[in-house]
Amino acid sequence: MLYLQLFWEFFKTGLFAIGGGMATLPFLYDMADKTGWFTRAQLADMIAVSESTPGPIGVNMATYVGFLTGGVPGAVTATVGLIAPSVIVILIVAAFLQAFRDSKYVAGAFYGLRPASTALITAAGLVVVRETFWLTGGVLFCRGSSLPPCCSCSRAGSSRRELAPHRVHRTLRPRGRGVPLCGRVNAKRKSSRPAAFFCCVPCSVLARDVAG
Amino acid sequence: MENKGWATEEELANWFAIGQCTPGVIAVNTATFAGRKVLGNIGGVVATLGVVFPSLIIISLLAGVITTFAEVAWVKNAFAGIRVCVCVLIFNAVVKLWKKSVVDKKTLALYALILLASLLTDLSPVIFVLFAAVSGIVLQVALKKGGEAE
Repeated sequence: MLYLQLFWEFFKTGLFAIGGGMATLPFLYDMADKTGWFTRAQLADMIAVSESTPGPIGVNMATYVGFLTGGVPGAVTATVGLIAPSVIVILIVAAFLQAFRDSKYVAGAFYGLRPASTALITAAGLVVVRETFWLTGGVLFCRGSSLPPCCSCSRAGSSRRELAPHRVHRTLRPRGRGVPLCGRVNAKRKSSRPAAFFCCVPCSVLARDVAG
Repeated sequence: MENKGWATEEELANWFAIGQCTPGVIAVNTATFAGRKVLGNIGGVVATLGVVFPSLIIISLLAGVITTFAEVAWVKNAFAGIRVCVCVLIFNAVVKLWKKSVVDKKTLALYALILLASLLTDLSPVIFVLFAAVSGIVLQVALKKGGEAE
C-alpha cells in the first residue's frame, strides 16, 4: 500500500512538474507536509546530495525520497513513478511531433506554465531560506540558548532538536509582537503554513535577542 | 549519440527543446525520444531506464550511508552549512528559468499571483499548474483571437 501511494505521489510529480529537476521541489515540499515521509530539513539535504551526484537532479531526488520512505524497493518505486508520465507523454507527443510543435494551444499553455513553474520554485526556495536562516536560527544565531516557551503548554525548546517537533510560532499582533505557539497548537489550526511563514520572521528576531 | 548514428545534432536540439516543454525531468524526456527513434516505443522505455539506473544505484548507496551517519554531530553541522548552498542553488535555478519564463507583464502578473498564492495557501501545486496552463491558453489563444476579430 505504501509503495502504491509512493508511486502515485511521484506519478503526479512527474506529470505536473514542468521545467526540469528543480520543478519537482514544490511537489516534494507538498509531499513532506502531507505524508510526513520525510521532513523539510531532510529535503534540503536531499537537494544538496542530488545536485552533487551524477544524473538528473529530479531523478536523484525521487530516488532519495523513495529510499528514505521504503528502502531500495521504495527508491525504485518512486523513480519509476516519476519517469512513467514522462515516458507516456513523450511517446504520445513523438507520434504527433509536428502537430505538437505547431499547436498554439500547447504554446499558450506553456506561456502560462513557465512563470508558474518559476513561481513555485521560488516559493520552495523561500521555504529553504526560512528553514536555513530562521528556523534553524537556533543553530546559526543562538546555539545553546533557550527559546521562549510556548504560551499554551509552556514547553521550552533549548536546541534545534527540541525546536523541530516544537516549532516556535508567534501569532501576528500589532508591532510584530506575538505569542510563541508550539507545533502542537498550530496543528489544530486547519493550515499551519501561512502562520508559520509570517511568524518566523519575528521569531528569528526574538531568537537572536535571547542569544544576545 | 552522433557517433552511433542514432541522432543528428538537429534532432537532438529538437528533442531537448520539446523535453523542456513536456512534463517531467528534461534528461528523461530526451532519452525517451532518442530511444524511441532507435527502437520504437520499447526503445524509449529502455533508454529511459538506462538514464535513471546509475542514479538509482548511486543515490541508494549514498542515502544508506547518510541515514546511518545522520545523527553524528559533525554530519549534522555539515548539512546545516550545506543548506546555505542549497538556497543559492535553488535561486540560481529560479534566475535561469526567470529569463525564459517571465517575458512580459502578463507572465509577471501570473508569476506574482502564483508565488503569493503558494506562500499563503496550502493548496497542492497541481492546482497551480492546471490554473497556469488554462490561463496561459486563455491569455495567448482566446484573447488574441478576440483582438484579431476586432
